[in-house]
Amino acid sequence: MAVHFVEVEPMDLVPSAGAPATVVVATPNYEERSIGFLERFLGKCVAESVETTRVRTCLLWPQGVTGRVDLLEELKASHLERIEALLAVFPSERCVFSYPMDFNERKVTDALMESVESFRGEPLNLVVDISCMPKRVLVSVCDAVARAMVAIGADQLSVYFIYSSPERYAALRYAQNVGAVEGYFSGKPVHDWKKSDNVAALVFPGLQGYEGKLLYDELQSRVRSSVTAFVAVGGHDYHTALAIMRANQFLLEQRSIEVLYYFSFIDGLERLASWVHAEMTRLDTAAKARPVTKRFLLAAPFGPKVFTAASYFMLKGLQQAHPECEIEIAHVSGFQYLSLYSLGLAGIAGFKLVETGRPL
Amino acid sequence: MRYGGVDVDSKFIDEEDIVAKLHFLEQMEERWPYAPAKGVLLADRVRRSLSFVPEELQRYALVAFANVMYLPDSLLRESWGYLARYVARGLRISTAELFDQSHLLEVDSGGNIPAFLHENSVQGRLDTDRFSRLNSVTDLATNLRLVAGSNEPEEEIVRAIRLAFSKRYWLLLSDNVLSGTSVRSDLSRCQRLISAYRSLGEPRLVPVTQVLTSTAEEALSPESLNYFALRFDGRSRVVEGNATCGLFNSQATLAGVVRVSNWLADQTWFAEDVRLKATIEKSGDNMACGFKNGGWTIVTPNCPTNSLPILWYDMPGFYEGPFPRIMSRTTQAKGGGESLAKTAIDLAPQVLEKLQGGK
Repeated sequence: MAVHFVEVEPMDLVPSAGAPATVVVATPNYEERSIGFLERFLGKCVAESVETTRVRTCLLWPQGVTGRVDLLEELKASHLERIEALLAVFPSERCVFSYPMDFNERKVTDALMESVESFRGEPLNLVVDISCMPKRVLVSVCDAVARAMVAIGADQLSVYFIYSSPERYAALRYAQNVGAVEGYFSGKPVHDWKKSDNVAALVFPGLQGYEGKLLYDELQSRVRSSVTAFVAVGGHDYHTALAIMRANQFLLEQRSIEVLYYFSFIDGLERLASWVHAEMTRLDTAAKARPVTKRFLLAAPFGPKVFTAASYFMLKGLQQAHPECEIEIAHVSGFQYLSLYSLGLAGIAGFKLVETGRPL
Repeated sequence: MRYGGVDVDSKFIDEEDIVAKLHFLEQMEERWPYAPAKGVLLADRVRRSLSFVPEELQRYALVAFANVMYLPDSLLRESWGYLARYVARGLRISTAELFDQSHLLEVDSGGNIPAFLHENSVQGRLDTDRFSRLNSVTDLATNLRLVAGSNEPEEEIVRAIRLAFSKRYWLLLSDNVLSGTSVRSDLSRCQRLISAYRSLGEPRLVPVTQVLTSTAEEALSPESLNYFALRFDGRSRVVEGNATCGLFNSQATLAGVVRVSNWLADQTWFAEDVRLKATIEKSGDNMACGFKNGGWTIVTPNCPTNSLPILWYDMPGFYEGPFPRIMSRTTQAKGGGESLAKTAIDLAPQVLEKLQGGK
């Protein structure tokens, strides 16, 4: 199966009369942007008198057992308070789970499936607001979405991802996020990954830069590795893009790294799809050769979360066509509870997941 | 601490993050050199530029250099690919349809059309039955006038005009829309030509821009500039008292950069430079912060005049900026674009008669 993404206007997802029912999954937290979409979407549903049975929300509520920071919890509570009246209009489910310690993936996927199942037998729009969803949780949600797509069928289920950009990122005064590079699929740290020499990696650089450097140093030991870096230069926010580029200077220093620019989220998604398509073609050709060389395809979406969701579906689709290849999505373990991480809300973008071919 | 033979305050360097910023630019330039510098390394150019600046202002020149927004050719080339996809999506057609249904025009002819087509792997750029060669508003107006003035207009010209007007869209390509001056004129002329010749077809005018600034948006109607790849706003502007400037650590640094910019503008050899005279007049100020008080630190493959002159001004032996510019205009002599367009519009009835009579 191949997938691609199509840009949609988020507020167009408010169901009109006769349109499919809608389940909205979101993760409100201490960042203002975490409730931006919910507030506007539900507000419009109320304003347009959308039938209350046609919309359902599923709030994912990570709760730190250790490392709980009262100030952040207060902010989270006040955000929830702001949208409480809107939430009360429609059926809503809240899934509280431990995170990051003792994270139980099952709890999240069950909650999501339960919401989806409540509309079983009729067309459904599943709208996942990933803006402030921890990436590990996001991958679990992608697993659940993939399962729902198989169970319900693409003709009945349409999947959308919402991403709200902040006005700016908070000053990160401490190296709070530093951890090991791990793989979501294998659950293993980078040095325990299969030692395939034939690696193709793509990196969406992160805000602080060290993530890509850690990964690159590991890949250096693999003889036939190629790294492509997708660098955002964002149409509207060159300042943030420049800060990320400055933080990732090592990418420029390494002449072996191919640096490509993208100018908007949808442009980045299209370029990612092109990269995957090129790999697919390469694998198609390689599959005719004997012996088949195993290729390890690695995505390192250290940038905006929309690329984590896209990497998940695109790599899974690629592996489905070529089970002989290995795939992985890299992330950096760690935690982020020493700052607000982001401030304000600059814009809300929406993307529809479009599949072509067999379901996952 | 000494840098380039001058004393630079370590605290200032630290507070303004100059090491990381300059190193980043060096890395960018190593990959994608600034062509007009002819192979001289950035570090050497920066040192040389500083040597011309009075000691008390050197730190401000240095911090201005470190905050350059370097947009190399590779980035700008990639932006043409993005823009084609972006425009096609906006018009709800495929990119192949976009190229089939569009006539291409460019503001300030400078190779944007071939770059746009090459980057998008469009075959047959020179096929005149596919792409009309009337690639600027002036070309178009000139050829319309030729038709008006001739009893038997050349078939090639007639074909090219008909082809241009038969397209659904006119894509008006520009690389930098920093003050909006050039694009505003061309937009107006295009719109009036379309209106005067609407019986030949009524293409929709679509401006497509690589680099756009918020000041240009203010000068033009923002909705006419929907399609751009990079946009810069007040955060990147060095002008006196700009409270939104996000380039520096403090307003004092901003004031210092304005001071060093004023120092350059105050020099007789700058103010009386014959290459700049007409541009300064057109700017309506002393151009301390660039053409029309741009105040940008944007450096494209040929640094624009809207950026700070301390970045690009080059007068050997007096001051040599680190991003020397090859001047596109030294006289600001008018190309006659407006009068050509006006005549072509006035002559529309005669031209249409000839074009339609020849069908």
